[in-house]
Amino acid sequence: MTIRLSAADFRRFAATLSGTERASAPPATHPATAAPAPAAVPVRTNVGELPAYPPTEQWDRWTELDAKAWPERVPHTYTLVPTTCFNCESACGLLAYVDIDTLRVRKFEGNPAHPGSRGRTCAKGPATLNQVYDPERILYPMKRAGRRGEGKWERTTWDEVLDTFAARIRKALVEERKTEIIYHVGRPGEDGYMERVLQSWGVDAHNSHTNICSSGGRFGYAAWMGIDRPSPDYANARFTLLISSHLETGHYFNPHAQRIMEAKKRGAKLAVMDPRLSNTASMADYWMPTYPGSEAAVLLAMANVLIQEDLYDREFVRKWTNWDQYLRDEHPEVAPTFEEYERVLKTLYVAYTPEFGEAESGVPAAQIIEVAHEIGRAGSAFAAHNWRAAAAGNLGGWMVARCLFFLNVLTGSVGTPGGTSPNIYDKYVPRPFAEPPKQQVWNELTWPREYPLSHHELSFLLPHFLQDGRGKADVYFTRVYNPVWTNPDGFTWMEVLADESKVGLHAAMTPTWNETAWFADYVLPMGTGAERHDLHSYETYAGQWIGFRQPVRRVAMERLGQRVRYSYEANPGEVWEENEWWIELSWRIDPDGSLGIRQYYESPYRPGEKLTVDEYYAWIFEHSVPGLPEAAAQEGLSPLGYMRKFGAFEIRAGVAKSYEQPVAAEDVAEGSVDEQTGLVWSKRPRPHGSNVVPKPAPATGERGTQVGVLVDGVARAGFPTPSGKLEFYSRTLRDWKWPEYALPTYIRSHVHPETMNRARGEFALIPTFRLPVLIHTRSNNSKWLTEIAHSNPLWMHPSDARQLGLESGGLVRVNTEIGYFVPRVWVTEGIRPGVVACSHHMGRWTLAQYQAHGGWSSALAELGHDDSQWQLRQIHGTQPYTSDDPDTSRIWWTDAGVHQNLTFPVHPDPVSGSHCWHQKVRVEAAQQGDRYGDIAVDTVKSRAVYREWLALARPAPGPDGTRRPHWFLRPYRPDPQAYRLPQLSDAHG
Amino acid sequence: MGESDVRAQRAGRAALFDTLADLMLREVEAPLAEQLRVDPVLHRVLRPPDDAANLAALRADYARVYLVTAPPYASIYLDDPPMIGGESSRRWEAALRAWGCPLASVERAAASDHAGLFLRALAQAERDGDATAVLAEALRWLPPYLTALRIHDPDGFYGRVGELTTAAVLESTRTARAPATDKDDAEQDHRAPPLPEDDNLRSLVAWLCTPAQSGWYLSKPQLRRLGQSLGVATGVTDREHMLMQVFEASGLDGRTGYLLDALRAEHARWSDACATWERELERWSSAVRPWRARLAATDRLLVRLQDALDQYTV
Repeated sequence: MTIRLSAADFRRFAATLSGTERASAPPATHPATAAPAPAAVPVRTNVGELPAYPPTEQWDRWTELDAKAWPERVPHTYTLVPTTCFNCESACGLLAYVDIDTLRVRKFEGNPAHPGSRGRTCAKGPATLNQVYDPERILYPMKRAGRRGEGKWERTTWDEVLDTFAARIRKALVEERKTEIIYHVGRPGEDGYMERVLQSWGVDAHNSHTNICSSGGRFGYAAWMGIDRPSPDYANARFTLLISSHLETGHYFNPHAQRIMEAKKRGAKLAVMDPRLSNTASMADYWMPTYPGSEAAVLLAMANVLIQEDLYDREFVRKWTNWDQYLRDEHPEVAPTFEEYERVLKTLYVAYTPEFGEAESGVPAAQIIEVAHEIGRAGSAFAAHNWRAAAAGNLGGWMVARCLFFLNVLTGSVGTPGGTSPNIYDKYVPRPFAEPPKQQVWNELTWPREYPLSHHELSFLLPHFLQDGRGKADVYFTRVYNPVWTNPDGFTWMEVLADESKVGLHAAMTPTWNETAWFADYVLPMGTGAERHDLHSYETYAGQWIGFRQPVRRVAMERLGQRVRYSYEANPGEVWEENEWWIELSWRIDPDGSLGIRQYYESPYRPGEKLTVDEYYAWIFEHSVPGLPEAAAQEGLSPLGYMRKFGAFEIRAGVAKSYEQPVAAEDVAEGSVDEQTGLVWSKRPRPHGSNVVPKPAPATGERGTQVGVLVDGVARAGFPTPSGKLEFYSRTLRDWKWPEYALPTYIRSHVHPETMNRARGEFALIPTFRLPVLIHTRSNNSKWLTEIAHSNPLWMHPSDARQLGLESGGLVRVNTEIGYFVPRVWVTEGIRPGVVACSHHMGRWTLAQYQAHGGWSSALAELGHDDSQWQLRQIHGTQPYTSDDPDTSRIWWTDAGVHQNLTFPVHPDPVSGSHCWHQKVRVEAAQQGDRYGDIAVDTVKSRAVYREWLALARPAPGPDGTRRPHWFLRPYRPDPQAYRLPQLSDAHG
Repeated sequence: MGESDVRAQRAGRAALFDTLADLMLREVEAPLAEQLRVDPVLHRVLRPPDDAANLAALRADYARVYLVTAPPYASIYLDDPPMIGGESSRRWEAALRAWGCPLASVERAAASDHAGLFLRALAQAERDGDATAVLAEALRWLPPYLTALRIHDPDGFYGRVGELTTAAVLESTRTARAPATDKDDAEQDHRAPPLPEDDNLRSLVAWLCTPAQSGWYLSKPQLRRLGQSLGVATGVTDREHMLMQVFEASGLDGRTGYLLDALRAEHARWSDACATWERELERWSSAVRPWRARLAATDRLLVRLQDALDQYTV
């Protein structure tokens, strides 16, 4: 050691160093740059669970150094505005750093005040910056200048757009053509706003993307509890079973992943069913690579283990399932006692042995037994989730979710710490002012009578229905949605969108160009997650919260004292936010109030005057969010001011076991109990509270309204089902013509191995999986994200590749029922033999002859069309180009992926209505002349497959002569009279 | 030495530890630079920057040293695999909680096992009159860390910070009570880590790049230089991958012997440093025995590799 210090040295240190100011003091002068001296750089602090972020009291004005100027110290002062990410459905909190000198958003970080994401984001959150400053984004409203699909556009004004659409919609309303208005939404990103708009117009216009997404899974959950989504309390689980990729990409990925990992750090175990070794599966204690569609067989085998070994929660099953109804209906020969039910139960699933599970799935019986035992040991702390995955892939996929929740029911892990709750326990949709009445009409273009139980709109069948001549979409909005690219059978979409007799006036509301916008009449630039208002609440953990999306530049300008009337004054170009746009449009549809619409757009604070977006949310925050006014007062803020500052508010933390809540005394006093069913009815039920989260409709009748169920002599809230309990036995399915599916059972998929001829190169194709950094069509306008992931090769097991003589990187032709696509193959042991997989997050293309439509993510393509024969061929992949953003000159990759969805026909599940995404395909080496990315489809074949699947349906009416069970959840539920079917003479042909 | 003199020296050590913590937790600002300049000892030892340009250059040095060359985290030196926020962080957090110390710094977003926080805790312990407990924890890894700092920044400001910290820590050990030794712990600590069971390159490289096994910290600049000497550009990647490339390159053109010579030279540097620490620590010398055991294991591994090479060559 070369340095020696003497005693004298230390004594002097005591005198000279002990008075040193520590780092908490900012530098008094700026050593490295000339005057003027910069503002002091505040110190990040420790709050919550993250190491450091700016203290909230300094968010209005926060100074930090410019990282790019390092090692020079160049300070920038920002105002920090919270918003929520609009890339996926999680709505994680973001914090926008808006430079107060330039009003440019410098970056997005996580919002530590957001209870769902807790300051964390995935790659997609910070990439919002790319989307705001995307050099290719649409900055002004555009109007078609040539023929539809010709790609010629001219700039127009918002006034012209509003007047055009207002006149067309008003005409349709006045002429009672209320089913000709359709609003087709991809990612809603908000709760309740559009419901109010569309219902104020009196139309049944909503058309969601859900039937190509989660409706299968939702149906499986709804069949049990009326409520269609699970809310697992991962953080407190002892064992978690996922049939989706929640650790890497799946639903509510970021808030879920962090809590799953917290539990794992405490010793919880994780099992993942996935034919692919996904990133999620790679983190699991048990990877169960099930053959696609066999998941329910494995789940029932595990249920059987729990039942046969008495590992289930007897008390929970006795108290909270409708076993008695099942015995009465299906086993009248036995006494309706729980002991008899248990005896029957042991026989019901006895055929689902672990060996049967293994035979169907390929997962070893020993592993099935081991996982079942883990689940049994976890008991009430068993969390599970299925969102899309198997439920969205297979004929009967909805039964996977039903069988999965069966395990929750058997373990009593419903609404428990570490268990799985109905999602509405953890979701809060605040009631707005002046709610319009429910619409009196029923739109059969979206809710056709062939699918009376369909959980969401048959949106992906719309082009076929229009081709069938079932109706017309006179005014058609696609909003943050790209059905040509996202949906199956995109060429049929193109045929219909190009036909003005079927689609009258089409507005694509989108922040960026997409394949569908190409076929629109108007392209309306709508804001990204940093340019719009939205209010939302999702079941991302055991608790209730609301998040507030904001146009961050507008908020920054207002903080600096500037007045902003409309968000487009603050956003780039004339990018608008939809909420203000809908207010303006509605006002112009009914300027004098004669249609009864205008009243819903008048200010609650200034009678008769037009509502502002501030007033809309101020009213909600003041009246409908419990605890928010008090929390705001503590901060010296108005409720709106609180939400503008913090961007989120937690209403409740922890698990709520709402079904056990006793029925309110006043309801019981005014009510009666049905002795046989135990249902509690009230003549005068209490009005709903301020949480208007969509729920199943309670039954009504002579006794009044169903408000609860008697359990061991106590009237409790129960579940919103006809039995008031969890429905092991679904009388609804029985009565609506599906008696074979009344109990949790196993439905063989349309890609079951027995349908495959391996010698011919036939495989089950999994086309549904996400990639961690992308999100369907919405992440297209982010260079950073596309740079990370831009390829979707066909996953194939080495044994299959050997048999076909294929190697990684080689071109293959993947033949579907209606055509083929040509990807490259990736040989990997990360997928089970007999199955191939291809992510749907790739294959964007543009027909533009210039680089202004997705240059960093889309291939330039040419479209060939000869009657029903369609071809798409890539001219070239991505390539660098010059723009204001130097990043566009750094496009080093050329692969844009392959658009496989174009080659898929529609597969509507006859019960849930969900599209069944998995495909039976024949894989072969590419043929001479095939080029990477080639697509070929015959839409005549598409029509044939559509009719084949349509024939599987069992149409309405149900036992009561209606279109659909009224108690079922339905988005934008119409008035009960609309459920009645018209006389046969009125019916469509 | 009188009581007041002892107190004054403790106060001096505390003040110095605080200053050293500042130097490790944040870039040098003008006031701190000025303070270093006016103190004759620190001015002589550290040679602080004397103008704005040198101060700016020192900021670049700070990042280079602490982010690339010699990470100031206990986890890197003690955990297998080395990972910030790992087992050592949790152990240290528990200790900080027990002592009533803050778990994180206000200066930077750093994990709790940052060297600066150890030095802060040492400062506090000196003021409280007994640094024994903090030293016992700190000496589990500060010697290899400070060695890394000196080896990997031999001519730089932060290398000198490492030397000064070494001197201050040694001075602290001379006045602290001797550590209590737990027999089981001691036996376990002194046991050499098992060598990789097989000689596949991935296992060997992982072992050599894990200080908790090898006892040394091979830095990226060092591996880059080693690669350059073998004509291989290691690129921007992790250390294991860099060393893997170096091994592969040496194998391709028959220069593995040269590579092993270089590794043995590195081992000698670390062994010398370890021996010096052991000697200087006197009553606390047992603190570095686990480190010595790791280096001894590395020595055996290098011998094994040489034997294998000789066999192959013959």
